Amino acid sequence: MKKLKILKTDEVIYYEKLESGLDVYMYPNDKMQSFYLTYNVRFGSMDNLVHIDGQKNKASFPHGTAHFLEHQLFKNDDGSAFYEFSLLGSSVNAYTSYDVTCYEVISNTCFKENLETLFKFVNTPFFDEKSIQNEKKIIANEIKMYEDLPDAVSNFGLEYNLNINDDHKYTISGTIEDIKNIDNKTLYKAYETFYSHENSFLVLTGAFLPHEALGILKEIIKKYPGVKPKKITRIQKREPLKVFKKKEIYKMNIDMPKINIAFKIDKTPLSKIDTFTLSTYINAILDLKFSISSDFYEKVTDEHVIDGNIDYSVEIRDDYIKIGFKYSSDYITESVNLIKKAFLSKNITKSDVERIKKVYIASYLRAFNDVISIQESLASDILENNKINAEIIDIYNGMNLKQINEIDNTLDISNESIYIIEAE
Amino acid sequence: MKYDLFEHSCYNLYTIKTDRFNTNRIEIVFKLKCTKENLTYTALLFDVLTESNSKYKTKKELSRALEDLYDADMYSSVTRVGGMIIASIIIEIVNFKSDKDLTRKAIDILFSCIFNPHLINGKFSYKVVEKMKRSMTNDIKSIKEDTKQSSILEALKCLNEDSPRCFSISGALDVLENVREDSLYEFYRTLLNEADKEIYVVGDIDPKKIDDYIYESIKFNSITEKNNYVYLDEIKTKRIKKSVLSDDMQANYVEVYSLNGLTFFEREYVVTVFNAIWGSGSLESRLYKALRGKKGLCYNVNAYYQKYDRCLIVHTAVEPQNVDKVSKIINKTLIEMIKTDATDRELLSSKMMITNSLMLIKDSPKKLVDNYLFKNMNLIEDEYKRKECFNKVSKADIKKMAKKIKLAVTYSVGGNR
Repeated sequence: MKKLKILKTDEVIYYEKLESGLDVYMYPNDKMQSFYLTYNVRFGSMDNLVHIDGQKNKASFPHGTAHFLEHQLFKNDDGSAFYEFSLLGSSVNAYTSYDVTCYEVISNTCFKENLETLFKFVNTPFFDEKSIQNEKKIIANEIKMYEDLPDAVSNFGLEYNLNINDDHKYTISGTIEDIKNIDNKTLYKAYETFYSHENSFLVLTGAFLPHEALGILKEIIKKYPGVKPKKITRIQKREPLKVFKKKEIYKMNIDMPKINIAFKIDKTPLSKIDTFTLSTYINAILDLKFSISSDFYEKVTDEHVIDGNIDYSVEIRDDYIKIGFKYSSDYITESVNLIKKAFLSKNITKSDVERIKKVYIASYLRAFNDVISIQESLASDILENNKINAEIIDIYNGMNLKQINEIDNTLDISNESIYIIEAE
Repeated sequence: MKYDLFEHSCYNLYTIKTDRFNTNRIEIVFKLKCTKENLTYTALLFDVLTESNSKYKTKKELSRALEDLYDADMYSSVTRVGGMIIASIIIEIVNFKSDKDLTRKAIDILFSCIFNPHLINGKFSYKVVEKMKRSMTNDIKSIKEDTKQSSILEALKCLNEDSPRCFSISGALDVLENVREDSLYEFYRTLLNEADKEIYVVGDIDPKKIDDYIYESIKFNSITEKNNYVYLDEIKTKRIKKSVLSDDMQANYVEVYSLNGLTFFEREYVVTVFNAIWGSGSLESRLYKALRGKKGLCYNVNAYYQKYDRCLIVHTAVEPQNVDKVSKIINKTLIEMIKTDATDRELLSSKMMITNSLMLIKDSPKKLVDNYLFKNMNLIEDEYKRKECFNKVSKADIKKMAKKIKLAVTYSVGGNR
């Protein structure tokens, strides 16, 4: 078992690759009362067109398959996995994102039993048609629930309009029409394609001993060795910088217009910078220009252009960088123009950079306070880089004004899509 | 963990010394009676107090000062516990061994916001008050976008519009529009003088030194009477049924049940176990299995035990044409709870889930403070006593208590899109 010391902290992460190919990452902490176990399968909503074991075998899945499979996997031939976890008094759940399906358990007793039960239900698929038909009704209700939520409507609408080929265009759950085409054959095929141990990883955090956990896992994989691993390559659909649709207005039962705008930015000039560092620098630029401590925020709230929060985010995607802003305002054109003006402003100072370093270091250290935050931090590292980055604090400490300015000067915001929800 | 109490004439300081976290949390708590006016004024006041102070006169300056303290996280929290408002201003700071002064600096900023606010001519700044009013107005108006929350509040309004049960924690528009910078300042002075006040500190601290430092810095100078308005009156109305069309795809369906005449043991322990089996537990709850598992009628269904409001609330979102069917199924599951015993497995798993969650309190500074606060208000017993009592709840206790649950309101909204 490898021990990885997180630099400039007292924290240690343990790593082991099991015989079955499963990667196991552990953050034990004897001061914590609870433990959080996650079983992550690299199968997300965007994995709907792949090559299997080489270029010749191509497989496609309806949109929403990963999410449907996640729902269906909780049902086994002798009932529901929830039943078994309820006997342990544990809380169990799952979620699907664009690139991963995650099954999670949180508890403070019966570590071994929880880990075994988690393994058992993820590794024993049982997809019968009757139960699949019932699940379609449940997921249809879930989809309709999102269609009543303005924030969800605006997020889905913006992604659809921003992308031409990229699969972020489609919702994670698929549409009601998409899921009509899912049957037990689809689910078994998806399971056999993606659910091997080679294509999965565990993150365990909290109150347990790593050597004991590893011993338990070695026994468990004898019972549940997983399906035969396949070499999976997501078929890349090249995404142009041009957006699919520049503007859309949708009417809902709201008071103040909701604005969701995203810029599609060329990443080729920044291709030499690794994803974590690039994302850290762009986040710093956004924080310094748009957070509550920024000149921009002071201006727009004082002048009553935006009242309330402004959410902003950055995502480094395969073919472009997405920078998004979401807020409510009666002054749509004026607020958008102010955002663009602030984006193009060049007034970040050395003391700003020193301040933001402290913010990031503190935020990283805080994550070690609870089992869920540290799991999220580790899982995001693994998904992005396939390893744990032990040098995060050094990266933060090394941030400098010169590189911030260089990156800032490269960000071209000429491709945008805006989704507005207005009152009916 | 080491718990200490430092009693002072105008406030009590409660400390929990622990090296479990890498942060220290300092929380000043004010308790006052819940009226629509108090709720709205408190929410606005706490927004204003955390916006700036006499030293850092703008949000930008204050935020930058907090960022310089390794992103000290300062925020306010206003909650309603039955008939009481519990309002806090909190600061949480990373506990660097190399910089012991950080905690003191954090306390200085926190106290400065509370005791030295940004005033102009003896009143709060007009500009700041109006800015925070606009932001609050938006929050209040946007409640309707959260169809679950708004349908529950509307269902509770059917009982009595003047009861704190249906007050939105965001405040009330009719009160907010009449608040001025001078009336808010008057409220602030009254709050400092008359509200019941406590301070909680959790972290790797020296409790005595913290007590000394807080005592030197604090400016409370009035002794207040400890009142307890927490438990609301029982619900005594005839059954109300209301249905409203709105422009949503789904119908949000809410049922409110009264819980009258409960014994102490039923109120504190039996209802919680009952509800874990019936509706608040996992996807293994009776409501989930009946509505979602067997029939696929909904994605979510939950029953919430509002102990201090003396009621149970069920919420789900369904196809509009299924509302009646759903209502009948919910009713049937309740009758089954009254007429037949819970299974051994249901009883065991619900108790395990509840007692496990009690142990998780120690993993969160916020939960530790909330738990300590509620114990100090005599609203809960200690974790070990609670664990013992939950384990004593029997099948007969559950059936007996379930008979006291009476449907008071059915409310549906939506389904017109």
